[in-house]
Amino acid sequence: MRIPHSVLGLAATLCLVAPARGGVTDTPLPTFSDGKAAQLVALLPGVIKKNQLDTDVICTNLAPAAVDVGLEVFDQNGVRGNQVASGNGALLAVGPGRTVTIATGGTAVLHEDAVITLEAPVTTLANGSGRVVATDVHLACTALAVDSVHTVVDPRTCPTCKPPTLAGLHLTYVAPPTPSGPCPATPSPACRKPPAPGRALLLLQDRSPSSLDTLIWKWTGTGTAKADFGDPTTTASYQLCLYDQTGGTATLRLAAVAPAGGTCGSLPCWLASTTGFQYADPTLTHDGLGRVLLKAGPPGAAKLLVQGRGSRLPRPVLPLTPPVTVQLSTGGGVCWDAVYTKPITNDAANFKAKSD
Amino acid sequence: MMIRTVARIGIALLLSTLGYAGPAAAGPTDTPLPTFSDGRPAVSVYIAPGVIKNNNLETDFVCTNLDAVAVDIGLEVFDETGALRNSVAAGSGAFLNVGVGKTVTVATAGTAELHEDQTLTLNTAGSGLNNLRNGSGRVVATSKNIACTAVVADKLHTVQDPAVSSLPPPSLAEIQLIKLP
Repeated sequence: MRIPHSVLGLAATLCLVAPARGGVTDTPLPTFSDGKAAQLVALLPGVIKKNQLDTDVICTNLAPAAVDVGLEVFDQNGVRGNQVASGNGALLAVGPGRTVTIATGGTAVLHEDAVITLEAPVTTLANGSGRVVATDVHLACTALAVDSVHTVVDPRTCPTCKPPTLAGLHLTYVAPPTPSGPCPATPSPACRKPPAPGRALLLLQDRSPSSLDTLIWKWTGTGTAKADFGDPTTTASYQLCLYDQTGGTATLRLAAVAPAGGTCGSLPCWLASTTGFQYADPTLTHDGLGRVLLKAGPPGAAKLLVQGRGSRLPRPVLPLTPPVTVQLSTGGGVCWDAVYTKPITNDAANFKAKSD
Repeated sequence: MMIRTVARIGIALLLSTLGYAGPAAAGPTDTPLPTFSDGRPAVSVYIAPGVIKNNNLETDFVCTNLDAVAVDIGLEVFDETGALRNSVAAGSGAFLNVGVGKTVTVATAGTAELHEDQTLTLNTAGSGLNNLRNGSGRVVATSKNIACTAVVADKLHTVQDPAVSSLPPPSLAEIQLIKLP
């Protein structure tokens, strides 16, 4: 059987260009020693371990639960230099809000919680790369290249002692780190929903100048008592949280807060009525929110409205990745939401949709 | 039937107990936002992983008001355990009515090289130690329209003219701030 030259040529070409697995992007993600699978959090070009320079990565857990955190390093050829799976460069069960530091070597000036031992065939990182992995992507990290041998000594007692060399390194996040504030990292599962499709409207407009940006969310839904709203004139702040599916998972894209109490202009921000509460801020001081209406009522009559505009309005980069979930909630746990799977408009300047 | 009822009550009590035993608010994500001493509530603007106060290294935050009106600006720092170590509400790390275009600097301690408008005194929460090794931070303000930079700085050295002094210059490194939407 004769094999056409073109097929042989193609096969030869494929053999020549078929990439070996390597480096921060296509090396398979590890599993931590507790059996939990790692997710990619951030990439770090410029990991250095050479000539008494080491790299420290400092990460804070922004997730609501404990997470495993690891740092994988790769040499200049893309060969991984440590096995997080065996605990090298890994810290398990880092509690919410805690900060941990993983480094390529111990340094005299910084504190490290874990130090990586390079594994053969990798012996130096001159210069390499790294990736932060964790069981939850909601981490915020800083990286520093650090002189491992010098410390900061008072020049009055040691005029010749040189302080350490320090330089910030830039991490590239796979997805934006979890925003802080009251919005949870992922949508709450038990919010009150509209009773039928189309009963909640979402409109986002990204304009130039940004003073023309607009947000409108209208919701009509299940029965809600005035007591469910808490008392925003004193204690109950309200937050609007918008999530889409960026990266294939629910990702917080917008968080806007109407804080409890306070004065907007010369009047109280929140006013109570017999059926609910209304927030009005002509100054748009808080996240560009100008109006929030909370109206209690029986099924089909309860209404919510959030309006914002202007440059202070947090705005996600459009278009969004459906399905989009919007939730309005208080700190007390009561929340209302709507899901938008099929937007009417979803482009770089506008998002408009009626709820599922 | 009675055994089943008792079991249900037991489970309810257990769940209730577990509810109370949930994690305490900690770190820059779920620690409640402060209210400034002028009564204005704060919003989160930046998260700062890698706030360091250790071995004569300190962290300076430099923030400029980009808003059209005066704003309050504050820095909250958290130690490695996630404990909040200063009170913006009580004025520690807080600046009130920062004018349009003005820039303020708050640091974990004074440094010889940089200018600070205010320095923090750590409370005894969390580790209880007078250091952050290594911690995190949260820049809060009454408006999102502020811009900040953070620098880890050697607090003892200054830049001297090498023609007249052999003293070495200080260590400085920028840390990566995360702006919140």
